[in-house]
Amino acid sequence: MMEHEELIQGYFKQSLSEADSQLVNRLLKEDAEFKAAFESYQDMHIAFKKADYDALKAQLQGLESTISKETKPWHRQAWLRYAAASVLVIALGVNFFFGGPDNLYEDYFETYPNVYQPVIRGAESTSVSDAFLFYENGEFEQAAASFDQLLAQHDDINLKFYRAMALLNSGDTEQALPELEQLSDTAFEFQTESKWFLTLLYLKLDQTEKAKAQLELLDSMDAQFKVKERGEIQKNI
Amino acid sequence: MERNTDPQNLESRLRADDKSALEQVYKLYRDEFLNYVKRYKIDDADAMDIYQDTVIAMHQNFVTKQLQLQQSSLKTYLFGIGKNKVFRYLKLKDRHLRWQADFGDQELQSPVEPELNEKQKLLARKLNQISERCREVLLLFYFRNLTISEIVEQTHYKDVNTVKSHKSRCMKNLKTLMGVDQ
Repeated sequence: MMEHEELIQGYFKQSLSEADSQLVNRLLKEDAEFKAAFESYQDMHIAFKKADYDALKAQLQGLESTISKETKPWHRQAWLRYAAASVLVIALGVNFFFGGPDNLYEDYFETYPNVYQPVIRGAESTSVSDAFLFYENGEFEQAAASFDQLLAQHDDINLKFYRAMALLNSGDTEQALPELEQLSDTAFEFQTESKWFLTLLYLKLDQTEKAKAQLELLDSMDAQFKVKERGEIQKNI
Repeated sequence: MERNTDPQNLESRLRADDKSALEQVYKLYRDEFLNYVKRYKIDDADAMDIYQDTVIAMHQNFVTKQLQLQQSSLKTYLFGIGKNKVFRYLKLKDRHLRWQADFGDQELQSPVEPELNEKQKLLARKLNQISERCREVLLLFYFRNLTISEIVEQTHYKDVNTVKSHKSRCMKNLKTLMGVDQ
């Protein structure tokens, strides 16, 4: 019984191994007692989530009403503006002395977070969750392989984006490059992100002109994603 | 610089369900997020609503999954969630406009957030009516997904058995309360 309890909690915490996730799915189909315990836990979890949401919403609405409209945004506060400027100057200086465009990849690369999976998960199939679990745990090769399997079953452009991200994070630039080139030419939810990562990849591969072209395209799309970082790179290449 | 703006510290406070950390994050990225949403021509009240929901979703992810951001910053994570919410909002709005063109002002059910079933709605209401101590133990277990041993570590309960028996008494109380309305 304790074992079941741990499995259920692990499922909602999204901390289960792939084998244990599969076990949960199997038990849900085959074990009526487990299914009842799971559903009862899920009811409580969702009810708390709703009650918590209502309380937090009220708290933030209250906070919002106290935030004065006169509050200056941070970039209008002089000392912070100077601090930011000096950090930038130092960063550019360090970069000038110690590295060229290829280092920009390392400087600016940051794993794109999992924003694809919805917050509340039901009891349905979790193979997509498994792939994202690998991704979130930094097991990028396994994540890429899981996305591959999912994509073989059905085409989904958002999953393709995360497959490309998994490849990039696992250091497989050779496979990531054509994927990102294709994705950045497609209008979809993560197009600007695709272009940004393609830019960084071009910089890594010393293809500065192609990187510049992507940055210009991002500007022309009026994209806000990484806008500050893009400006810094443009000044630096 | 304020002591508590250290990102690691902020993240661990979020994991511990610290509501003041939530307010701090809210204030930290509010202007930038609202500015970011402007280009989608979303009206101010809806933009504010989306931002609040984004911060809440982020907070709940920290609390229920004990989230550790190892490879992305809190800000990137928050904006990632926000972007997703903006797209869902725009998709729904687009559907709504097409719906209105076809069917006038009839209600369109939102497919965005999973709807709570009747039992879950009733539970959510009853959770506010049980004793503070019961609410706490049930919240730690069912919402924050803490194991019984973790609850012992983080609270004043003296051992595993005390938590177990208190939790089961509280569940019994809750079920009785649920029965009153059924």
